[in-house]
Amino acid sequence: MSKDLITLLLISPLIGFLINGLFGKWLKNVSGWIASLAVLIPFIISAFFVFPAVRGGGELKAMLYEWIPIESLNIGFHVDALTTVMLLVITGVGFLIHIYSIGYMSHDSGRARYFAYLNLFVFAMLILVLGNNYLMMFIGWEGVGLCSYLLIGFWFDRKSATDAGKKAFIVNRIGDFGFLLGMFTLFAAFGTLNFDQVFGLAETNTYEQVFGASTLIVATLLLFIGAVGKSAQIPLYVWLPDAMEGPTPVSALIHAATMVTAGVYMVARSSILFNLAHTGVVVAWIGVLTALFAATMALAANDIKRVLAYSTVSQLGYMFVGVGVGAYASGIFHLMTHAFFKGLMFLTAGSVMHALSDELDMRKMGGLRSKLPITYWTFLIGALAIAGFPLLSGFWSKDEILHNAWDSGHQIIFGIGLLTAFLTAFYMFRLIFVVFHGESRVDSEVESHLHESPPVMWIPLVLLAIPSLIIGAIVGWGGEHSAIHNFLKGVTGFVAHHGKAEHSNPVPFMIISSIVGIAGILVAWFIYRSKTPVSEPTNPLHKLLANKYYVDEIYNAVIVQPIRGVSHYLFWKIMDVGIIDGLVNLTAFIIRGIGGSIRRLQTGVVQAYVVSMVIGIIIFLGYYLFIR
Amino acid sequence: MTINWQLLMPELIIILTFILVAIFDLFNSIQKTVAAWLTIVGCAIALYVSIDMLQVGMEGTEFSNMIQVDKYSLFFNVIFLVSTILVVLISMNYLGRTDRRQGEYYLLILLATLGMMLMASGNELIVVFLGLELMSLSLYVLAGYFQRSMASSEAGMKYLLLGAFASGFFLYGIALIYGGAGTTSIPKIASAITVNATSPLLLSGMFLLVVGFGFKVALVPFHQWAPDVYEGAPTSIAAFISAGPKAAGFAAFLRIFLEALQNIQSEWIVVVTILAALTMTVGNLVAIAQRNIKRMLAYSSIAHAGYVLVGLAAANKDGISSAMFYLLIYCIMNIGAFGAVILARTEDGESLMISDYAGLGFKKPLLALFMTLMLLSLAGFPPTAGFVGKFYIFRSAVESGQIWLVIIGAINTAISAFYYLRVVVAMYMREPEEELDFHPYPSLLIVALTLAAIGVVLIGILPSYFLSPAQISTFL
Amino acid sequence: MALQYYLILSALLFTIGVIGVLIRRNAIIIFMCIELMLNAANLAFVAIGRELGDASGQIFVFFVMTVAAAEVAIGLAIIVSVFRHRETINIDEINTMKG
Repeated sequence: MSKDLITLLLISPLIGFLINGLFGKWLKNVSGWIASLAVLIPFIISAFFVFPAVRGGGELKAMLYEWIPIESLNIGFHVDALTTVMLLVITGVGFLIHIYSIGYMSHDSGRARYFAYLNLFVFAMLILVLGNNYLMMFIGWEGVGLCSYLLIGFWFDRKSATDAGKKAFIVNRIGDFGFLLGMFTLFAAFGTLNFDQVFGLAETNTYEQVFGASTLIVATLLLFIGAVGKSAQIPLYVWLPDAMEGPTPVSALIHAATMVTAGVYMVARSSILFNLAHTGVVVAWIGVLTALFAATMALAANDIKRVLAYSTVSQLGYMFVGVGVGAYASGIFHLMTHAFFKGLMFLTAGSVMHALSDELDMRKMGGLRSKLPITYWTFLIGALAIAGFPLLSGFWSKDEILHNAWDSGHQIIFGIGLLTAFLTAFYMFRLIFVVFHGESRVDSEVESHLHESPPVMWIPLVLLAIPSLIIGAIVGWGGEHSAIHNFLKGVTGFVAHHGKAEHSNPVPFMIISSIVGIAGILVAWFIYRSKTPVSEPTNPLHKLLANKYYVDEIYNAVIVQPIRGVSHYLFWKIMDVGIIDGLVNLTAFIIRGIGGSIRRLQTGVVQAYVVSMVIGIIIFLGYYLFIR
Repeated sequence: MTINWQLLMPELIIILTFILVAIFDLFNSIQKTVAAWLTIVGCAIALYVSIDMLQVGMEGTEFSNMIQVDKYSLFFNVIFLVSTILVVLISMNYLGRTDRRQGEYYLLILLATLGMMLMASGNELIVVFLGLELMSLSLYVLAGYFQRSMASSEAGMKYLLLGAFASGFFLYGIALIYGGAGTTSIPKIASAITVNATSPLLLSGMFLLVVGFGFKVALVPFHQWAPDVYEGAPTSIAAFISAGPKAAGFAAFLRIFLEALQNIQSEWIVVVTILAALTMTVGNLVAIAQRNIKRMLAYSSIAHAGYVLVGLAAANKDGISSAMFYLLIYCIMNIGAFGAVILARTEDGESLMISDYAGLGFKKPLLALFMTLMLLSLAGFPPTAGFVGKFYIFRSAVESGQIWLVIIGAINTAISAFYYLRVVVAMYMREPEEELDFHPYPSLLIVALTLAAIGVVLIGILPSYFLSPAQISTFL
Repeated sequence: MALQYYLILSALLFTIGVIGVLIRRNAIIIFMCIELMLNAANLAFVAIGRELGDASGQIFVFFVMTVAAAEVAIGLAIIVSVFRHRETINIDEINTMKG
C-alpha cells in the first residue's frame, strides 16, 4: 500500500511531463492545469507521510523495482521524516508556483514546453529526495540540473538566457564532479552506496581505509563540493544570479525554494558521515562567508531579481551554517521557512514585472504600493520574514541557527551571522522602499496599463504569505522541544552538538536578533524613505559592490581564458586532432577496410552464395568427421 | 481419440482468421483494408489467448505427442503475434498506394505466422520441418510480392533458391538423425542419445541441422541471402522476415539442441560458439560499409542473430531465457527501425540512402525521434530495451564460462554503435545535400511506431516484468 | 539388403544435387537439383524406416512430397515472374543487388 503511494507520488509528475511533452501542442491553456494537478497529487500523498503511521513507524522503505540485479543499481526509495519535510516543500510550494505560472505564462506560446519541463523538474527532485542510495540521489541531482539548464534557457532566442543556462550547467558540472568523486570514494570504502549500509558501516568503523584515516574526511569534502555547486556557495555561486534569466516562477521554484537547497539536504542526509569526519566546521565557515559576501552584493544591486538571487545565496549560506555546526534540524527548518518566504518574494517580483511589462530595474519603479496592493502586502510579509522580524517564520529558524552556532562554540560565525542578519534586513527594506514607496519613476507608457495581477496569480501569493507569517511559530515554538525538532529527531537528532552539551537560554538570542533585524529595517527607512536611488555608483566601495567584487571578471581572466587557451592548443590541436583523432581514424579505416573487403564477397550471384555456404559446410563437416 | 482443442487455441484462431480473410477477399466490393483489420483482430485475439494460457500455465501434448504446447511455445507465440501485428500495421499505409488487391498479402502473412507457431511448438522434427516450410514458402512469395519491381522478383528468386537448398540440408539432417537415433521425436531422441554412443550418422545429421537453422536465422557463412532479400523485398516484408521467422528459427534451434541433443552438448558447442563469434563480427563489420539503410539493417540483423546465438552457446537455463527475452526485444526494435524507414518516403519512392537522412532531425522531428530511439536500442544504449537484452545475454554467457565470446560480443557492440550512430548524427548534425520532398506521416504507421517505441522504452525501464515470464518459460 | 547401401545411394544422390546447384546456371535446372536433394532425403527416410520396422519413415515421405510439390509451384511462379522482367533465367545475370 505505501509502496503504491510512493509509485503514485513519483509517477504523477512524470505523467504530467509526458502529457504536456507529447500532446502539449493541442492542450492550449489546459496544460498548466494538468501540470498543477500532477504536483497536487504528490502533495496530498506527502501530507499523509507527516503521520508516522503511514510511514510504518519511523521510516518507510520500498524497493520500487529491480532494474538489473546489481545491488547499487536498483531503484529503491525510502521515506523518513527528513524526506517528508523535503517532499512537502517541493510539492507544496511547487504546486502554488505551478498555479501562479498558469497566469504568468498565459501569453507565452511555449507554455506546454514550459510546464513539461516544470513537471520533469518536480519528478527529478522527487527522485533526489526519495532515493535510498547516493546513486539515485545523483540521478535526481543530474536531472534537476538538466531541467534547471532547460528552464534558464527557456527563452532561447535571448542570447543572455542561453549564456546563463550554459554558465549554470558548466559551473554545476564542477560541483557534480566533486559529488561523483565523493561517491566513488564511498563506494571504494564501503562497497555500497545504500544510505543505511554506508551509515551503519561508518558508525561501526568497518570499512576499507581508502585514504587511510582521512577516508571519511575526503569523502565528505568531495560530497560537499557537489553541494557547493548545486547550492551556489563560495566559490561556485556565480551561476545563480545569472540564472535569473529564466521565467520568474522558475527562479522561485528551482533557484530559491527547492533545487538549490539540494546541497543542504545532501549534507543533512549524510549527517552521520559529517559528524564522524568532523568536517562540519568547513561547511559552516563556507556557509557564513557566503552569507556575508552575498548580502553585501545585494546591497548595491539594482535588478529586483538579482537582489533576491543574492539574498537566496546568502540564506543558503545560513542553512549551511546550521547543518555545519551540527544543528541539522535547524538547517532544514530554515530551508523550509526560506522556501515559503523566498518563493513568495520571487513570485511577487514576478507580479511586479508582470505589471510593469517585464521591467527589472528598481530605479524605474517606485510608488507601486497603491497600484499593486496585494503584491505590496505579500511582499512586505516576505521581507519581514526574511529580516527576522519577531514571531514571523524567518525569525525562528534564523535565530535557531545563530543560537546553535554560539552554543557549539563558533562565536565568530555567530558574529558574522548577526552582521549578515542586519544587512539582510537592510537590503530587503531598501528594495521595498525603492520599489513600493516614494515617487513613481515608471515610464508613462508603462504606467498607463499598470494593473494588479489576475486571481490565478495573487491567490498563490496569499497562500504563500500565510505560512511565511505563521509556520515558524507553529513548528518552531519551544526550541529543542518544538514540533520540527521532534519530527526530525529520528533522522538528525543524534550528536546535535559536539561542543557544549548544555543549551544556553534562547531568549537573549531572540532579543538580540530581533533588535538587529529591526535596526536594519530602520536604517533602510532613514536612507531610502524618500531618496531616489543614485543611477551610477560614485564611491569606490559602492562601485566594488555594484560590480559584484569583479568575481566574474576574475574567473574569466584566471580560469576561463587560460583553460580555453590550453584546451585549444594543447588538447585540441595536438592531443585531439593529432593523436587521438589519428588513432581513431586509423582504427575506423582498418575496420572499414575489412568490412569493405568482406562486402566484395557479396557478389549478388546466387551461386556465389551457395559456394560460400558449401565451403562453410565442408569445413565444419571436416571438423566433425576427422579432426574432432 | 479426443483432441484437446483448447490447447491449440491460438493456432486455431489464426486458421479461422485465415479462412475469414480468404472469404472476404473473394468480394471485390469490400474495402481493401478489411483484410488487414481482420488480420490484426485475429492476431490480437490469438495474442490475448496466448498470454492468458501463459499465465494460467496451460501445458500439454497433442496429436500423438507431435505438438508440445508449453510456456516456451506460448512465449514465442507472443513474440510472433506481436511482430505480426506490428508488421500488418506498418504494411497498411505502405501497400495503400498500390492498386492491387491485398488479400493474399495478409493471407500469406497469416500462413507464415502459423508456420512459426508450429515451429515453436513442434515436438517432432518433422513438425518443425513442416512449420519451417509453411513459413518459408509464404515468405518466398511475400519477398517477391511487388511483381512489377525487378528487385522484388529477384529477391524472391534468390530467397527461394537458397532457402530450398538449405531446406534440403535440413531435411537430410533429419533423415540422418532418424537413422542415428531411431526416432524423430525430440524427447525420445534425448533419451536415445548417450554421450558415449554417438554414431557418425547422428553427428552428421546434427551438423546438417545447424546448417539448416543457420540459413533460416542468417548465421555467417549462411547469411548472404539476407541483405539481398531485405533490400529487394517490400520494406514491410523485410521487417517481417527479419523479426518473426528469425525468432521461430531460434525457437526450434534452441529446443532441438538443448533438449534433443543436450547430451552431446560438447559436440556442438564449439561450432555454435564459432558461428556466434563469426556472425557478430562479420555482420557488424560489413554493416559499416553499407550506404543503403535497408542493407545496413540487414547486416545489423545478422549481427543480432549472433548475439542471440551467444545465449545458445551459454547452453544453460539463463541462456535460453535471455535469448527468448532478447528475441522479443529484437523483434520490436527491428520492426520499429524498418517502420521508420517506411516513414521516410519521398515522391520517388523510399529514400534508402543513409545520406538522404541528413537534416531530418529538424525537418521531420517525429520520424527522427523514432529512428533514433530504435537505433539507440539496437546499439544497446541504456536505458533502452536493447541494453537490458544484451546485458542478460552476456551475463548468461559469463555464467557458463564463455568469457571470450562475451569479450567479442562487447567489442562488436562498440563497433555497431559506430554505424547506428552515423545515421543519428546524419539526422541531427548534417545539412541535407538536396531537398527531398517527404510524404506526410501516415497515421497507422505512427501508431505502430508509437507502440514499438513504448515497448522499447518500457522493457528498458521495467525489464523484470518481461524477463521473468521468459525465465519461467524455459523448457529446461 | 543392408541399410548402408541405401544410405550411400541417397548420399550420392544428395551430393549430385548439391553439385548441380553449384554448377548449373539455369534457374529451373537448379531447382530440379534441389528436388533431387529432397528426394535423396526421402530415400533415406524410407530405407531407415524399413530397417527400424517403423512406419513413420514412410509417412514422412508423403509430407515431404507435399512440401516439395508446393515448393515447385511457388518456385516456378517466381521464376516466371523474374523471366518477365529480364527475359532470362540465367542466374549469373540476375545480380542487380549486391555488396
